[in-house]
Amino acid sequence: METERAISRYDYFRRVNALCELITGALATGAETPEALAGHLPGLLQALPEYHASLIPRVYPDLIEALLKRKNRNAIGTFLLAFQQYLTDLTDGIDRGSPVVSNFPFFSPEIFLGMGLVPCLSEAVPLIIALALTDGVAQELDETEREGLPGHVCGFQRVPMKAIEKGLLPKPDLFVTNTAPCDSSNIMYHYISERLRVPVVWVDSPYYNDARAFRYYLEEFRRMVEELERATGRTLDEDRLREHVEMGNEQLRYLYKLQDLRKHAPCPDPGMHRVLDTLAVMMCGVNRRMVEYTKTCYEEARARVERGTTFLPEGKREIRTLWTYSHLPNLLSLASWLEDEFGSTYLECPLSFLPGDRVGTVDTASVDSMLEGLAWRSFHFPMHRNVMGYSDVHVNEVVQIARTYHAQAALFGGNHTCKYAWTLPKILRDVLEDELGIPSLTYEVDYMDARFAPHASVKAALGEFFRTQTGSEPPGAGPGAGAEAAG
Amino acid sequence: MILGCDIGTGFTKGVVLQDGNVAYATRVETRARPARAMEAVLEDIAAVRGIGAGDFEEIVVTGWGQGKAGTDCRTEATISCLARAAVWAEPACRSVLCMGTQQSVALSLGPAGRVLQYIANDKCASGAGKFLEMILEALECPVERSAEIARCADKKLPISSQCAVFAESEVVSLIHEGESPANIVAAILEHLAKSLVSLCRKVNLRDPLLVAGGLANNPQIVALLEEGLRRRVCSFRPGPDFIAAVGAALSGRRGAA
Amino acid sequence: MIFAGVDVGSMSAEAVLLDDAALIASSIRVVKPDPVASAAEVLEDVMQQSGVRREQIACCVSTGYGRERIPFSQHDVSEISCHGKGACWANPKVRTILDVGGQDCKAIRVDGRGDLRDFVMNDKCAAGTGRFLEGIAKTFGVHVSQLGPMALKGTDPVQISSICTVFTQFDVMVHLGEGRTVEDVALGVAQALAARVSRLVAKVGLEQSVCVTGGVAKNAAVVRALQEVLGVEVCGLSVDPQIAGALGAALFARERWAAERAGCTRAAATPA
Repeated sequence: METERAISRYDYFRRVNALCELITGALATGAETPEALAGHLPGLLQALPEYHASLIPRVYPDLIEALLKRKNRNAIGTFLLAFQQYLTDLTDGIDRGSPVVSNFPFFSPEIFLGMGLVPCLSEAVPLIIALALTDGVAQELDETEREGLPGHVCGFQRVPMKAIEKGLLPKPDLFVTNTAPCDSSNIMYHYISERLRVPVVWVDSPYYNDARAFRYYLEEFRRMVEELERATGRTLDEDRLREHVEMGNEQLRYLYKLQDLRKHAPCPDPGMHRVLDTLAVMMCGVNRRMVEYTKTCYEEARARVERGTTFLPEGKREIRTLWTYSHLPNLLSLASWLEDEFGSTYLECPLSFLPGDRVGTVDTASVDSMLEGLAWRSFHFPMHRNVMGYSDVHVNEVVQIARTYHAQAALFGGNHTCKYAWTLPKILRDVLEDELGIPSLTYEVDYMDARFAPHASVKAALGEFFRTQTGSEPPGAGPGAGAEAAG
Repeated sequence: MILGCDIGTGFTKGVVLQDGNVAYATRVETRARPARAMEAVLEDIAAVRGIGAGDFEEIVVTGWGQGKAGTDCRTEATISCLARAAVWAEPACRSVLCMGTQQSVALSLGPAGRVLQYIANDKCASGAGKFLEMILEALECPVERSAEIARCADKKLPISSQCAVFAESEVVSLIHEGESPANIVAAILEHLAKSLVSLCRKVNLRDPLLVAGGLANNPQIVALLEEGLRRRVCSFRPGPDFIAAVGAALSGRRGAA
Repeated sequence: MIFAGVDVGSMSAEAVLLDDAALIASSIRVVKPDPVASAAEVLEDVMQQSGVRREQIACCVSTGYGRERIPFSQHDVSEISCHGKGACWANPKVRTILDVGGQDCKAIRVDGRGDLRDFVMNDKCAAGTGRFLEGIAKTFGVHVSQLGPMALKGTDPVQISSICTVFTQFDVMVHLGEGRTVEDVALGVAQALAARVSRLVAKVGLEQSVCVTGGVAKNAAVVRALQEVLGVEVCGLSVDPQIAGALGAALFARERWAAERAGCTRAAATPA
């Protein structure tokens, strides 16, 4: 009797894989609008299993419209190819019987891959579903709430727990997480471990981010590797590790250059793919295609700078926007819409940004140097470096980015369950206002649950903010100021 | 000559701006019918000033009902209008508190009136004019007399509910317990002011602070705000209700270039 | 033996008389500002109905607002316990009760004897309470009891997006102004109320069977909407859902009396 393969046995994998195939197929038709795509649809579906057709009515229409646009299509397309490759390798590993590890994304998977472990990003897979499908992961969210888990506990832990229980995701052999101040994950991994009866490896994150703190963290990191080796019986293979670390290095080299390019005016890098950038950082070194993804984004941006072209509509004045939290995954078309409507370009966000001058790349000379480099990178990972020390560490970074990128507006669309982040928005907007005269908008969303902040209300709030920005030019300001009358 | 209209959830305000000055201002109840209210404003202007809709260079509409005005007009973001009018009335203005029927909003402005931050209470009625309206109705006290009546208070009564609806029940109990209307009105005004002070603190408050919206007509509210925020405030002139309508009219001038 | 239960709420007061295990009289009255006067009035009603005299009542328990001030009751018990007890007696299958009252709403879990296991209450916000419906009824210019039948005739419910009751009343006016029917608005309102109440259930967990008590239980559209959103059938009660609290109080009166007679001290088996 043949066991069904993991890619179809676990419904979340099946769904995401099908979405990747659907979207990749749609992009391959060359259609640039939903109307044009409609013509290709019958032919497209003939080549794909019936299951895929069932997903189509559930995909956000605005997502399709946005990702078909020339400015967005390549970035989205190459990312999905990379993610699909990741799923294929992941499920092959499961089928082969390799140990499965699921981690809170505070470090990238080269370590796991170097040990021949299967890195199941249980928190990331549901995110793809939530960003593509209108019903997203609502069912799993609601079920956890009915059981008594409060709605203000982060969906990134509630959903995987429920999904694993229901067999929608595989039960890992181990969880790995850290102790950085994320209330939700710190509580939930304890709970998940007991409830699912899966052990957790805890990596202790220090409070400060100085040299002494890093030495402590490096010890913790090394201990994590030892515990993993002991628990799984697998050992770190230097060559396999190096292969992935080198890919990761290459990926980051492109990322750093891309980050620099974003300082140009107008910003040459569109905003739709930025939440995917966050995932790319968290999956750094996972496969060649992820390198291709970052490279594609970089090369397109560079071409725009070299040719002096922009993806902004003709005559639209740029409003350089710093996202001081991050994107809204379940409304992925948001940044694209803001560009087209208001000329608002997405500069950076703390969750997708990696400070290249501090983090650099990993020295691949030896296992030791690689471990140290990966620990150093992890130390500076999103959601790790941002919560260290007093709030000054994060606030200073945001102000620094605002200054060097010449930000003109700031958006804090915080995930309401992200309690630590919500200590910050007033401090951030006051500092940005006082030091740089930058206007801010703060609003609440739920990353996993689109019902929390309906898309129409998010767009209305942002629309009001940007209309206010375009409208508040004093009379007689230069020729560029005339563009907003169209807005 | 430009007509600026602010279609709010309670009242629709129309302001005729001529050569940068307010030539006429009028106000009607919206009653959830924005197009009708807009018509009523135009009718009033025609009747009192003999100016027809066609006589205006431009009609600009803002506020809750801006998308449903039903006339040939342009729309402007409400926040923009508030800022523009604030700076027109008070060039040095750096913060604005506009207290509407259902929504109150606090803004902080940069030099030249650039909008930097704004926060509205859009989830909860406490801190909005409607709250006061409901309570005063239960007390059978006209809005215009509430400040005067509150000044006769001789006792501090606590209103524990945040919720406007429950506060109304508390008021009914207080009435049955024989508490004086003056004490109750004073307590409600304090409750309201507390919400508004809280709202102001959410933005980067700077002097001078301009207060506007219907509640700014209430001297007791203004006094309580000054006490709670520990600063003097100025009121929007020619009339606090008309701030957004003036702002809408002011935005018309730029388009004319 | 005759036992009495009196429940004084924010909008209505009820009384129940039990003769051992049989319900012999009940009454519902609009509440007066003074809870003692309300309690006396509604107790007078059931005595008149049944012909029972004050001296014949072996034990009386009061619940609700001002319960500890009622001079003629021997004990007072929380309305949460009383609703749980009363609902379970009226339908022994009941394990989860949604009590939607005038000013608060509660989700209550009980065991097979109707004893309290868990509960959660929202009393901070009027959305999800009878006050919400009252406000809407006022906007329509009808009695609140007419909202249910109106809503059941609705076919295309309006979306109620505001959280606050005050704002919702305004939204309702706008919908009416735009030509939506009162039936569709009433249905939208019922659904919004059900959505708010159902969120409370999530916090205590849903165990079948589920029933609804309190005045709002009489709005059939709300009950239907609750069924839809919870995905379970809401079971009926053998008594008017609005008297569940008073009934529970009478049942507690019987229990307390029996306990005192037996001379044993029950260590808070029935929480106060």
